[in-house]
Amino acid sequence: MSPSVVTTESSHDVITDGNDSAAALLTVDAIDVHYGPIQALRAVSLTIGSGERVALVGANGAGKTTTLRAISGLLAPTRGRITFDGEPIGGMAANKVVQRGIAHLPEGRELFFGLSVEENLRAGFWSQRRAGRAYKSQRDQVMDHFPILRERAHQAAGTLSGGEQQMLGVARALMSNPRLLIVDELSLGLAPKIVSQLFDILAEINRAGTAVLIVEQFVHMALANTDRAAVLAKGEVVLAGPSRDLLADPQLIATYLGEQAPKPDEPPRRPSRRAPKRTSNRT
Amino acid sequence: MPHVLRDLLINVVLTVPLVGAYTMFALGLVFIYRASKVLNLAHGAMAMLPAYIAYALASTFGAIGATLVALLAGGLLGVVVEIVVVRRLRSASATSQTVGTVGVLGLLIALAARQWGTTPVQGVSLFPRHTFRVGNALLQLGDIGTLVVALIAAAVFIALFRFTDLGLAMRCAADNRRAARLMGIDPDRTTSMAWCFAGLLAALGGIMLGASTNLHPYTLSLQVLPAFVAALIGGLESIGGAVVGAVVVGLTLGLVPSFGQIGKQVGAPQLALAALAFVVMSLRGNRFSVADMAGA
Repeated sequence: MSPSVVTTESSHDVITDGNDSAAALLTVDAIDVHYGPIQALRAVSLTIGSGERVALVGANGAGKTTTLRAISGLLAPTRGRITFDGEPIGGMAANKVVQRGIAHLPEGRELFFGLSVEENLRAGFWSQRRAGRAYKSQRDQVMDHFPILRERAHQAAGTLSGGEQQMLGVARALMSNPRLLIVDELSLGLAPKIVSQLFDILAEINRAGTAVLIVEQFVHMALANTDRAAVLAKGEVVLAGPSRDLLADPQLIATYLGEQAPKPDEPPRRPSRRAPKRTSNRT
Repeated sequence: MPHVLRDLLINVVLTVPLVGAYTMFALGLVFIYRASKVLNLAHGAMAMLPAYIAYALASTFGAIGATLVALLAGGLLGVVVEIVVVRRLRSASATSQTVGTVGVLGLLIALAARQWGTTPVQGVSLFPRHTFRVGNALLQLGDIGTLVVALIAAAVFIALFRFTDLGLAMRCAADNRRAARLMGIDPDRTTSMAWCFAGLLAALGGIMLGASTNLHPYTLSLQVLPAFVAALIGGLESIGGAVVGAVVVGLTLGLVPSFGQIGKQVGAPQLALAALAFVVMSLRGNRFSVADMAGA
């Protein structure tokens, strides 16, 4: 086992890795989440520093999406605290959380499919419309990352290709000028070439100062594109540490994900080979 | 002009007030369906009660003042029904919510019958009682007024949905409530707004229909039913479709009596309407697409 990888028996430990928790942008502190009587998360903790890239990995049903939803306010934790920029946001409604600077791109994109590309971007700007920012300059800034969306501005979002839809999802999230961008399954249903293009765009966005939290089924890709990572299993954080250390120790991941992690030089797998249950409308 | 054609023309002219009222009702049904995915079966009662309010207040505030108060009451009634009944049932199925609106229908009819009795009365008219002669038929100025007001209302709401921030928020919430929340939009608020607008339009339609026919707790509440067919023809989610549907339904009800002895029989127009609804639904199948909303 690599010495720098932190295994957390109690799972109550907050991942710090030298990040001073006072400087943390987001702190998730021992949260539980229930769906009715079913407990989905057990004392999950996580911190994200300003401008940091963090991955959350784990098998299907481990609680990755639930964790993201608790952070963005779509679900309320039944226990524990979430603070963003020093302010408590646990249990706050999602429409308030986005105003604090957290943008969440949900799994399956959840665009406004009946609305045009431009209208989706206007919707993304909704939380900023009274913040004194100009819509047009924000849109032009965001569109610089996605030239193709400029050409599609008046097309209904539902008529875009899968890759373009995901680009619009990211663009819409960026319209709220977030300090933390949460992305759930960026690669879902997309061809590898488009996925790596999207990861390049995320890196660009991150270089401009936005912290990024990703959930990703392709573990190798998630670790290669982040600074730190946490592994979830059955609703608990079982492993956390610098991404490159986790990447160097494929056995560790294999233990918790129930599959063999790819060697670093191996190209990312196509969805159909390892995850046949995923939707496969690849483009 | 041949007899048949002249009859036809007269009957078309006589559908004018119906088309206007159905447009306003169908628009409201569409707003509500888009926002709540509920068929508001209380819509007729939500038209009838404000019409009575206008009637009751007319001697105090005058026709225009009473109408304005009744319109506000209609908007408020929409919000109250949404918050008190529909929102509470949101975790239940859309069917349960629809049944909830039936309860509201019964309650409002009972309230009106208790307060104003069940003898028909003449509703408040916003327009002078001036009549035109079209062939053998008489058309009131108010009938034309109803159609004009309805078309203006439709244009105003189409513009509101297309060009304002509020309209964008309402369309987003109708398309995907969770995604709307993630954008900072409060979908509960936009849903209440949709019910408010629907209540306002129902009140306007009810007042105008009460003036061109008369006011009765049951009759006026049931006169809204063809508007359901109109909304259905338009695809339930399309504003433009609701207007087209209202014209089709109004013409069907008005024109059937021109077609010989069969057309003149009691219930023939209604039967034609039912057949029309059946044909449209079979042709559309499940294609009540969200894409309709893009065209709003």
